[in-house]
Amino acid sequence: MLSCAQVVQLVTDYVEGQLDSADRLRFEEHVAICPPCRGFLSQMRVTRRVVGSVPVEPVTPALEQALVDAFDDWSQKK
Amino acid sequence: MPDHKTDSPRSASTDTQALSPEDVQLVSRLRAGDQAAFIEVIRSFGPTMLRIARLYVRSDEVAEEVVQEAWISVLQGLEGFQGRSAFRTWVLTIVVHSALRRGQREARSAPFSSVGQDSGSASGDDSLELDRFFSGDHPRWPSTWTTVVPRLGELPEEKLLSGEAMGVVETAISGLPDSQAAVLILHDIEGLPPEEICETLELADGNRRILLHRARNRVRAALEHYFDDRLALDA
Repeated sequence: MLSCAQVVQLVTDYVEGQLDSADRLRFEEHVAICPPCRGFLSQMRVTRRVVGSVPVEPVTPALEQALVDAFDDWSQKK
Repeated sequence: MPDHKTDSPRSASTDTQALSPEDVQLVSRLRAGDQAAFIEVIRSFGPTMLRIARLYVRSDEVAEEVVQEAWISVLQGLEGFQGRSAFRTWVLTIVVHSALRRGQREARSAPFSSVGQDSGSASGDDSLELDRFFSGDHPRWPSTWTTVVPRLGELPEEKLLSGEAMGVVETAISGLPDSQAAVLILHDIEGLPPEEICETLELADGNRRILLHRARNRVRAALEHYFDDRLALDA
């Protein structure tokens, strides 16, 4: 049986589906009977979702124009 | 420091075996001077490039300069690009190196391997909050929790994804070591596959996994703290 501290160390690999089948089984056996580790797993899943929802800032029009100008220069000099 | 003007010294042709058909077409359009293709690419990759650059330099303005420098390197190297890695990976690798060079000049940043950075080694992990566990030799509860761990997944969506929660996440990410932040951004925000992250940041997969775990755990701790306070206020 894994300890709670071991579950904490393995949780990201579990969430990402990167544990082998034996470790995944041990992880799930522990979490099934351990409310704090279920809470921790829930927190890590939520964190994954919240971080994944951080808005992506688009490139500013000024930067885009500067890059397009550089591209045009490059393609003319080729 | 690798030379990115060509990803292989042998020839300037693109190895279509290694590239996706989309990349082959994209590189071909760019080489032909197709401005619309270039605009598509800068809109697609630009936000990621800026985020990565911003990790290593002091200001948004300098990050924009780094992105411009990186694109100039990309264009100069385009004829020599052989497609040994995906086009996006190649571009991101160039921006990482441009940003590192600029950051070193600014003396704000240093390579992942230098002192003070988290290179993802197994030792020195401070992400496990040891005060939340009984010791390993505790007679009754070895290495088990001493505290309650609230299940944030039961919070309503509008609270989890509120602007304030996003601010907590952004602040937590900005406080991470560069290497952890880079892995977290590329994995969780930009959705790059693990092998592209390893190639872009020149990390072994084991180190990538450790850095991702540490980064996500630190952000988790910030969210737990934030929601603990919110729940106490709401009670």
